[in-house]
Amino acid sequence: MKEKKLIINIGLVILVLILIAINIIFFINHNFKEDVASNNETNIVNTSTNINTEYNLVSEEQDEENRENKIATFNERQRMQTYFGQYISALESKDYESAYNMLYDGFKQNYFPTLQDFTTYAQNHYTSNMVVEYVNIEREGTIFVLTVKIRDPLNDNTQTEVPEQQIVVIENAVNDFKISFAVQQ
Amino acid sequence: MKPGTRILLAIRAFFKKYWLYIVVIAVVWIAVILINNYLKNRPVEVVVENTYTPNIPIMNSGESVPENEQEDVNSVIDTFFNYCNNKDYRNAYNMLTDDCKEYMYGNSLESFTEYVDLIYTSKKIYNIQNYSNVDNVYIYDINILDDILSTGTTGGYQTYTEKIALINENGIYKISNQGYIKKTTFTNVYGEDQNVKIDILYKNASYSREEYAVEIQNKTNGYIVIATGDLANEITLNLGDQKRAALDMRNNQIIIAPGQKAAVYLLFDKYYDDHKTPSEINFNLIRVYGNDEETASQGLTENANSSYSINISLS
Repeated sequence: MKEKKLIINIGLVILVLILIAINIIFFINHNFKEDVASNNETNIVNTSTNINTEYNLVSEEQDEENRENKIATFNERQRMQTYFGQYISALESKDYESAYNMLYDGFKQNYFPTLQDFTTYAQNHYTSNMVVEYVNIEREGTIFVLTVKIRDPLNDNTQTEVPEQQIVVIENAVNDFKISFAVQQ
Repeated sequence: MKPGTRILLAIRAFFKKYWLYIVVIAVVWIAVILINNYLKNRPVEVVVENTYTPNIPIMNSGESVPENEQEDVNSVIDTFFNYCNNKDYRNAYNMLTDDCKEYMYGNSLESFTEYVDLIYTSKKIYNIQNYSNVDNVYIYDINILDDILSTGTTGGYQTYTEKIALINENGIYKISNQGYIKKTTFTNVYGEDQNVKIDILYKNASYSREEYAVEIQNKTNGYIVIATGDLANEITLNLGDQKRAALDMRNNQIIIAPGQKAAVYLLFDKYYDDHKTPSEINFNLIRVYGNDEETASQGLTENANSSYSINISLS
């Protein structure tokens, strides 16, 4: 009889220990996930500034997915600014092919049939340091028309008024967009 | 008794007394942890913000186009636009309601062609916005603009907006464009006395106006003056809580020679979606003169042999 009670008591103690162990496992798992999420955030920021860090724990696909998830939480204005920002970043880093791929097909056919045409235009009209001031954003159905001023902070003459430019953006899906712009002769 | 043994006994006694409570608490505890963990890790569906809601009317969002009809309606608009954009005049014309063909284009394909050529001067794109929906008539604003995606707004761009109505005719959606809605024919709606017979024949409703076709017969040997435009409210449309005066009567005077019939068109301000029902047309100052045309044309009440009003119910 005494042995039976002893076994029951030992069983209860083991049960409590198991509960404690489960709790510790949950705690560790939870904290580990938070660390990974935090590292992903760091990775997004670093990708945009082209700096590789030791926090880069996710694959390129995951990075893209995280980026899309983040953009999906933006409002329309922020999304349009993000898209045009990507285009400007590509031009600043002289990645003309990436910028060219962001252009709307019909627009390319009309004004820049080849990458070389666009590269020549971009070299003459864009610099490696640009600051975009968003004057207005309007929507025409599914299309957005951005009115912007593009400044070159290193070379701008403060006495000269920077002309406004119009940029047209269509968003097919999150981070899937095409751009066209008023071509300057 | 050794202290270690005493502690063991104390622990045993504790568990023996409270084991049921401990088990219950442990089960609840585990359940809470599991549910909490599940809720935390559940994938959250992100809804991308989109303020473009083409099928929700801006006048009254509670009267949306039914969801099961939105695709059909949008498809009809798209087809009509593409026909116009590609200068496929006949197919576009065939998508118009018969009333629209008659009123807006005089049943003339050439007249419709002129409209298309005026608006679609180059390749265009469009967007739509449901404006209001009344009595199964879906009214949209269609905004037609230069293909700014292809031009990037180079050289600027133009936009043109008009209202189009989608009306289900025998199970097929047809289009009334340029703000025109539809025609309503009246039967046996008239007013008559010993001097005049006034027949209300039909009305053509546009989004912001109604035009009534009226036939007036002068049964006397003298002149009858219905309206000269010199006085306010010679003819009004009764909307229940208010009356609207006929528009532009000064340029459309109604003076009828002895024994003659005149076909006149009375235009009133009235929004199609104002939820007001016209109850009657009031001819507030019918003046009966002798056969002196000059006296009659002045329209002065004091020179008339008699003057009175006739109200014609539209129901």
